[in-house]
Amino acid sequence: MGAHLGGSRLAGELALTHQSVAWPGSNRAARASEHHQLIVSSTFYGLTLAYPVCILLEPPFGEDTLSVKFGLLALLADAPAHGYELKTAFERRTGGSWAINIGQVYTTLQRLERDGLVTELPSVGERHDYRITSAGTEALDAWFSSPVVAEAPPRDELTIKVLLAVAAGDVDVTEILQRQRRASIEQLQAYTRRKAHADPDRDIAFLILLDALIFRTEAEIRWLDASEARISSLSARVREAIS
Amino acid sequence: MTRPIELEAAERRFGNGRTQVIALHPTTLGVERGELLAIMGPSGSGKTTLLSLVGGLDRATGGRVLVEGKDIGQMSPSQLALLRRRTVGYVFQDLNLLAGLTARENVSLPLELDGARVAAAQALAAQALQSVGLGHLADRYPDDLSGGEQQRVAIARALVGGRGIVLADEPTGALDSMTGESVMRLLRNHCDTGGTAVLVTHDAAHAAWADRVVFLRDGRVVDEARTAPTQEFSVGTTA
Repeated sequence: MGAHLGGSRLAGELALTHQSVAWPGSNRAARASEHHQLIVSSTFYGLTLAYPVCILLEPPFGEDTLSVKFGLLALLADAPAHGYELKTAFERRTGGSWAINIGQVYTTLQRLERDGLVTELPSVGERHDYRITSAGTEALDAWFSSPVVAEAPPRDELTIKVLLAVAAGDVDVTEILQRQRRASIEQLQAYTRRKAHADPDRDIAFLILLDALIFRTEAEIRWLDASEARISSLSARVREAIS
Repeated sequence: MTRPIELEAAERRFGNGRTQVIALHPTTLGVERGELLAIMGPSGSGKTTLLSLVGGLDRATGGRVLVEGKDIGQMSPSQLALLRRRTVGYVFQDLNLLAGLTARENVSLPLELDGARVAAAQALAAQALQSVGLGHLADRYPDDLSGGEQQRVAIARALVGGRGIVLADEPTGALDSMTGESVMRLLRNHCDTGGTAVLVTHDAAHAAWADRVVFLRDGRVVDEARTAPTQEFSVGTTA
């Protein structure tokens, strides 16, 4: 996969550096270090700001794929199962909120089998059960015992949108932040409604999942607040300097 | 049916001439019965001013504020005091419990001030404490209660005697997230059983318990978020 970004200029505001991008296979450490710098400069109330923005391209195997891979291994560690059983059990264990399609289950099983982490049992009639191998158990243990480290800097669409909006002189950033804040709060309200109706004794997986979603959304809102505070304090300083 | 709370172009200015500060620009806003309304905004955006106008702790310098259909701008100080004893309960961040009184006595105080007999007031107070899950701690003094327990006492005191409207200013400010959540559940339950509440908060996770979130900036309502009852719940991937 490659993309040519070099030398292009967007709206006279942004200068892209580096020449091209290519993914060096599936090694996560290597991928995390591959990034491109986008130098953003803008004129804001007469001040010119310039700062680099790192952009990580979407890797070919993202967080979702990894979670499904180890999710299926964790289920197979309990007992051998076939594809459809794995799909329904995965959805149940993740609080009923993560729907995966059966095609993804089979693709993942094939990849796990290729890597020697699972093995297909002799079929009985229509059933094709899979069993975890000892290498699979080791890989699962290693996954459970290692912390998840988020890739930095963030490459999500919202962060990039806000950074680019700050750079573009003619966009009302406060309005963009507020629109996003409203959407995030409405999302938070929907999660909270679910939480209010959940049974704290029986729906523990679902509640833990909801907490994760709620805290993430809350962090996003705090970031929006902080961004707005920074922008308004900068414009206050600039106004003061001009007057 | 009259709304419990209605602001009609209500505004609050301080000072005049060049030094005049407009804490709240003319604001029109209604709160429905059974509604939990949250007000969010940066510091100095007018959140607490708005809440103080509704609670009769401060007077609008323009427009009208109606509580249960009555213009509180026209009320005498004693009528306002009556409103606060019978109709509107307040919960603050700093709890304002009286240290020398037990939880039960703190809760029964507004009823006794309103002329209720002590025994009757204490019975209602015990009921209110029961409803916030503190029936067993009624005889404790505030210093012997945790922060979350003290805040639940404050909510019981705001609700006691059947006051339908609760105004809460950062009620979860000093609490950890699980304890704050238990306070929000009480406010939610109050509204789900026909009460009304207005909550000022900077905490998005707590504001999200509300049916509607109003955003203030520089003394103006700039936006609002509402719960979408039919919103699909879907996360993750179907790739």
